Amino acid sequence: MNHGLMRIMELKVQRSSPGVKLEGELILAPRSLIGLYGPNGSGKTSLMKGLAGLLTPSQRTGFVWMGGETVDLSKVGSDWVRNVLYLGSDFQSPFHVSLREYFEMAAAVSKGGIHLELGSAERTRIALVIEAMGLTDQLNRSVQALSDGEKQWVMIARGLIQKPKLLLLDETCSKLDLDRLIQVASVLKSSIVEDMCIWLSAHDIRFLAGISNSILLFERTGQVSLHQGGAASIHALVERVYPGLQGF
Amino acid sequence: MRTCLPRRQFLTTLIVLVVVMALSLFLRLDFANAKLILTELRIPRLILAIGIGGALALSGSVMQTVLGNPLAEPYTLGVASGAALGAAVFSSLGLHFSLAGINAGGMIGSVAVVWALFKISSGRGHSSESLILTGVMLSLTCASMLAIWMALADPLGVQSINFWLLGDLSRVSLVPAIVILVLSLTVLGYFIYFARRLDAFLMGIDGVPSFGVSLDMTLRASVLLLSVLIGFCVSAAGVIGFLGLIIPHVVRRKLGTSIHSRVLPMVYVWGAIVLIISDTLARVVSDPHELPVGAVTALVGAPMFILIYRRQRHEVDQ
Repeated sequence: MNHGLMRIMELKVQRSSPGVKLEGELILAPRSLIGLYGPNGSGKTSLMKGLAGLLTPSQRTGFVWMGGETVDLSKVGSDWVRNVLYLGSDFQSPFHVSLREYFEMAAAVSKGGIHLELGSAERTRIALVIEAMGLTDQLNRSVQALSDGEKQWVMIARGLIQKPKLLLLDETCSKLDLDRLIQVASVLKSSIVEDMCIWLSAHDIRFLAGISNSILLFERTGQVSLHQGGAASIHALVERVYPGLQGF
Repeated sequence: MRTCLPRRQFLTTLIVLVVVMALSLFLRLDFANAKLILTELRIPRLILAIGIGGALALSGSVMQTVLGNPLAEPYTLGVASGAALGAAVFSSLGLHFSLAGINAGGMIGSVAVVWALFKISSGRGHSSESLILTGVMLSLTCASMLAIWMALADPLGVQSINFWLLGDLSRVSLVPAIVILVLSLTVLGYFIYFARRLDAFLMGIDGVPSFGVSLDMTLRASVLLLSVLIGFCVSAAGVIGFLGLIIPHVVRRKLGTSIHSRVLPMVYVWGAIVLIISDTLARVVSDPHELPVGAVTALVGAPMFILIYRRQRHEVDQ
C-alpha cells in the first residue's frame, strides 16, 4: 500500500456554520502540488489554517499520518509548523528586516527552532532557493521596501527554505505578474521541492489546472472533494462550484 | 546565523558611556566635599540613571516589537500612569511604605493596572490590538484620577505629585538604585536569551506562529515582565518620557538591523547614556535650580522623533 509522504484523515474545521469537511483519507505524495479552488467563504483558508494548527484546538479535528506516526490535529502545538507551514497572501513588517535575515530565520526553523544556529545544510538550502528564484542580489533589501508582488515572491522562497513536509500557500500567487507566474510554476515543480508537498489556493482556475496534479474543490455546503487536474476538466469544475454561472 | 553583537560599535558605545559617567560625576563638583557629594548624591543618582535609562529604552524596544507598533513605548499600556497615581496618592496621604527603598504605592498602582489589563483584554486572546486599546483606556483613566487628585490636594501635595509626572532622579539612595540596576540588567539578560522569539515578531504579528513561536505566551510574558520593571522605575523616579520611544528607533537605524540580539544591548547602553546626559543637563543648566529630567528628555526627544519618522517615511516611500 502506498502511504505517501503524509495522509490526512477525517479533517474537519468548524469556525462558523456549516464548517468545512474533508471526508475520508487524502494521501499526499512527495513533490505533489494540489490546487484549492472554490468561491469566497467556502472554507479554503479555514481548512488550511486548521491543518496548520493555527485555529483554536476545538475548531480543528482530524488526524495526520506521517513518518509512521498518527498525529491528532486538535493537540498539535507551535512546533507543528515544521511539518505544516501556512503562508497567506501578504505580511506587514513594521521594522527593517533584510531578506537575508528573513531567510535565515526561516532556515533556523527548518533545522529545529528559530533559536538555533544555522549549519552548512541550511546555508546550502538558502543559496539553492535564492538562486533558483533570482534573489541572490536582493539579500540586503529591506522587506519593508518590497512591492506586494515581490513580497509574495519572497514568501514562496521563504516557504521553500523553511522546507515543511506540507507547504500551504493561500493565494500567495495572487499579486504575481505573468512572468513570475510562469516562473513559480517551474520552481514548484523543480527538484527544489524535494520531499515536500504543496497546496496552493487561487481563483484563477486555468492557472491552477495548469500547475496542479489535482484539485481540491470547495463548495458552499462545506463539502470538499478531490479531482484530477488538466485543462479538460476546467469547465466541469467551474460549473459545479458556480452552478448559476452562464456563458462561461 | 549572524546574530552576534557588532563588537566595534558596542565598544565605542561603552567608551561614550564611561566618558558621560565621568562628566556626570565630576562636572561642577565641590572638591572640598567631594567624597560626601559623590557617595551620597552623585553615585546613587548615576547608578539610577543607568538602570532607568537602560530599562526604559529596553522596554520601549520590546514593547514596539511584541505589540507590532513602532509608536509603542514603555507607558503605552498604562502601567506608568497606574504607578504615578498609586505613588502620588500614597505620598499625599503620608503613607510611606517602601520596598527596598522604593515607593510601594507606585508598585501597587502598576500591579493593579497590569491585573486590569489582562483581565479586561483576556476575552480576545491577548491580541496586541486589545492590549493597546485597553492600556490606553486604563492610562487615560489613571491620568484623569491623578488630575482630580491634584485639584483636590493642597499646594504642597501638588508639588509632590509633579515629581511623579515629570521625573526626578535626585531623591534616591544607593540601595534602590542598585536594585533597579540589577533588575533591569536581569530583564535585559532574559530578553537577549529569548531574542530569537522576539525576532519572529518582526515579520508582523500574524506571522509569529509561522516561525514556531507561541504568540500568546511570548506576548503575555514580555508584557508582564516589562510592566514589573516599569513599575519599579516609575516608583523610584517618576515618569520619564520619550527615551523608550526614540532610542530603539535610533539604534535600529544606526545598526541597520532589527535583530534583537544585536539591538537590545545597544538600546540599553544608549538609553543609559541619554538619561545620564539629560540628568546632568537638568542639574547644571539652571544651577542652583534643577529642571525636571522628564521635561528635558521630552524637549530633546520630540523634535528628534519627528525628524526620524519623516526620514523613515521618506525611505520607505522610495
